[in-house]
Amino acid sequence: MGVSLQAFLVLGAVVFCIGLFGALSKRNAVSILMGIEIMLNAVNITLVAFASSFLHQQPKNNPLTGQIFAVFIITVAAAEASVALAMIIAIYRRRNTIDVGEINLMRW
Amino acid sequence: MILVDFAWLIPAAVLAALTLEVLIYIVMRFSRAPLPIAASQHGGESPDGGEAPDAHAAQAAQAEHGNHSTHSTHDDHGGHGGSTPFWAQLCSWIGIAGLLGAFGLSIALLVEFLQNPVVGPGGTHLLTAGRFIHLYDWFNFGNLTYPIDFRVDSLTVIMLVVVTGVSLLVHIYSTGYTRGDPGYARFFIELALFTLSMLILVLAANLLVIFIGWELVGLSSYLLIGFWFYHAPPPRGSELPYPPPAQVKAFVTTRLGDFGFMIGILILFFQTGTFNFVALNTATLHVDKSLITIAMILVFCGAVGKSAQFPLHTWLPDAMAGPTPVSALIHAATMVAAGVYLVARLFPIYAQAAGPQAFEVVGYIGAFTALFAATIALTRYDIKGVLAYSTISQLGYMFVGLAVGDSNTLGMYHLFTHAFFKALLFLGSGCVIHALVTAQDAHGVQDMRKMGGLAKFMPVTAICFLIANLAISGIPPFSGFWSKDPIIGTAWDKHDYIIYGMTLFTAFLTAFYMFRLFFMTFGGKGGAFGGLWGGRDQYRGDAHPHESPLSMTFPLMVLAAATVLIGLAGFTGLNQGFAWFLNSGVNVSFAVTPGLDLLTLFGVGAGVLGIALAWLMYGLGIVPATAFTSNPIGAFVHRVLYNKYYLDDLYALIVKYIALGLANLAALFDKYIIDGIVNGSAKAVRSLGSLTRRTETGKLQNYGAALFGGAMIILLIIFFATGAIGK
Repeated sequence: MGVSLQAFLVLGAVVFCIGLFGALSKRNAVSILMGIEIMLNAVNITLVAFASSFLHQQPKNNPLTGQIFAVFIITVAAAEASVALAMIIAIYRRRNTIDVGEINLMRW
Repeated sequence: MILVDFAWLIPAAVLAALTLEVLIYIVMRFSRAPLPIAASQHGGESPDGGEAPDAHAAQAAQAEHGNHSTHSTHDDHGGHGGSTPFWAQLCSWIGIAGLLGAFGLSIALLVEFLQNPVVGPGGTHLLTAGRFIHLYDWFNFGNLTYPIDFRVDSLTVIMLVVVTGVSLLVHIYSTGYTRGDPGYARFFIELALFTLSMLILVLAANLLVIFIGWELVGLSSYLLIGFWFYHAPPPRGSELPYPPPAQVKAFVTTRLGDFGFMIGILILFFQTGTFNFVALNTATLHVDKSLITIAMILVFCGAVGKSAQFPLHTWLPDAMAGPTPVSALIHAATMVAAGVYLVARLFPIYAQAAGPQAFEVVGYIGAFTALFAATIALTRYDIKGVLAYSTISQLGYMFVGLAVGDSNTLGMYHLFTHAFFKALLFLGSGCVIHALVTAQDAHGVQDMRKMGGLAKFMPVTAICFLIANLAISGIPPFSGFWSKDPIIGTAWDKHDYIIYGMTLFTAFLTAFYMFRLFFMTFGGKGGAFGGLWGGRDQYRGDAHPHESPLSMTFPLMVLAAATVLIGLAGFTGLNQGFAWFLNSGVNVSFAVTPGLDLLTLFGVGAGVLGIALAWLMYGLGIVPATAFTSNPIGAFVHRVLYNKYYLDDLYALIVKYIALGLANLAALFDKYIIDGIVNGSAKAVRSLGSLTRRTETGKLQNYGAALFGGAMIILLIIFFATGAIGK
């Protein structure tokens, strides 16, 4: 156990911020999707880190809760990515662009 | 069961008549005939409208032209021409029937009061106790109730007889006077409304109901004064009032007094917790005397407005813009009597609970007004103008009578006699005006300079008028003598020598200007009896005078008979009986009974002197009328009097500069401060909205940035607050 919990949490926070920045600042829909994926994985890192660091302290609880959460998130993220990509392709076919600034059909 | 418990039937009869008339009016008027105002739209500027002023301009600088509006070709003038539809006549008959019922009931009540049956527990007689009729509670508020009650006592009964009697005669008279007028039915509706209001006023058992009647009277007088609202305005410089401003003036001026009246009522109510007259009589005895004095002076302010006392008298002469029967009903017999009635009703409070200052104010204002109005009346050429100022003067006498008397008998007796002979005078002048309709003066000539010698043309009117003239001049045995002389005499007995002098001099002036009116109208130099009974050659106008129809002369004869009979009954002690009747059946003597003493001699002598002077000036023509105005001082006095002491001009200035200035200030305040706040808040919201709408970009990424930025700020705050960082 050379690496402390804190380091993992800092890593998670940094990765989350990178993903957030990407999701908020990019105009390309695929890039935004990638930013969201990064944010999800940052959460996964923290979940797994918490799960392994509290493994001994709470023996009565199910020790695998955090990991199972992470697996679920990966699964959901995969599904989400497939749906989002399908939408992006559909939009691209119709409007010939995936710039979110121009996809403003429903803007007030 | 006694009749007095059904006194509410009197106003109910009038109300029923009123309702029926209104129903007929609504159905018939709005389904058929056009409104009269449509006909007068082009009446004011007809070609011969401009001629009349030029024709008469040379006569005198202050020439009065009479109402020379050019309506004769239209069917909207009173009196002649035009036809009255059957339904409108039906309205008048309903009104007369309702009034007849009310008058009959009032007489029955009077008889019952004279019989004086036992009504209350412990053998209380009707005259002593009166009768209380509870109608309903208007509303309850906490432990306070605001009841609508009637009370019938001797004072009420007298007023009931006077109001219904005069109103009935005026109704009969009006069927002749307003025949052919397009507003015939409306006239009778408004007459009924007025009578109803006055009946509510005199039947009131508390200040609340009397105030309701008071304001209703004001409203109906407003309607009646402006009855001819569509007439063309009188020419410039004329003494004649113009109906629309006159009605507003009457309404607003009396409202000034009502303001004081209302404050007075509120003071009385807050001090005693009751509106009821009987309860007030005892309750006010235990309250601070000076406060009650102030309250009673404020209440008198209402009477000053309604009874046209100085300085709020200016509306009454202008109210002559109404048809003459209205002048008789409202401005001689009943409405202006409301103020006197109010003071008479509250007499015990004035006399006992309030300090002597209250009655001093009443007495001096009354005496001053009597003299003041009499001097103005000297210079009027408008026949109704003279009568208007004489009314103000006589009302002053009534207030003096109330103020100096030991009971309200003096003032009420003068009100009682005055109601008959003043109604007679007004109805007589109505006959004259009615008879003098010319092409130029479609509404009848009112200028006495265009009359003269009319006695030969209309003897019945002249005789009745003469009787009323003698009564108002205080000549025995006519009714005015028995009521006016005691007022003057009592002022002497109470050592109010200033009031005595003023009222005595006023008696002289009254006789003078009333006989000036008579000689200028009915007589003239060269007529029979030294000019009293003018010949045909005395007539100065160009109309064809004729005696009025029976419907108009009949009320005159009735009123003249009443004036004579009341006067003759004075010898048999009618005034003593009146005092006994009004003072709860107790045997009190009339304060000063006219007898063969020096006081009476002075009082009658003043009247005889006035008549003699008028005879010399206008009957025999020995003293020319210009004798007093030819020297500079006399001319100045005449000019001041002719312009009514410039009070109307002063009020016009006050209204123009002070009242309208204040109104403009208020308008500015409203425009910039009130509207500024409302518009400003709207403007602030709008500008805030235009600022914040920029944040609504519709772009998800902006919202996300705001969301996470906000979350970060909240987190930082939490961290600082819990001390996680920053320490």
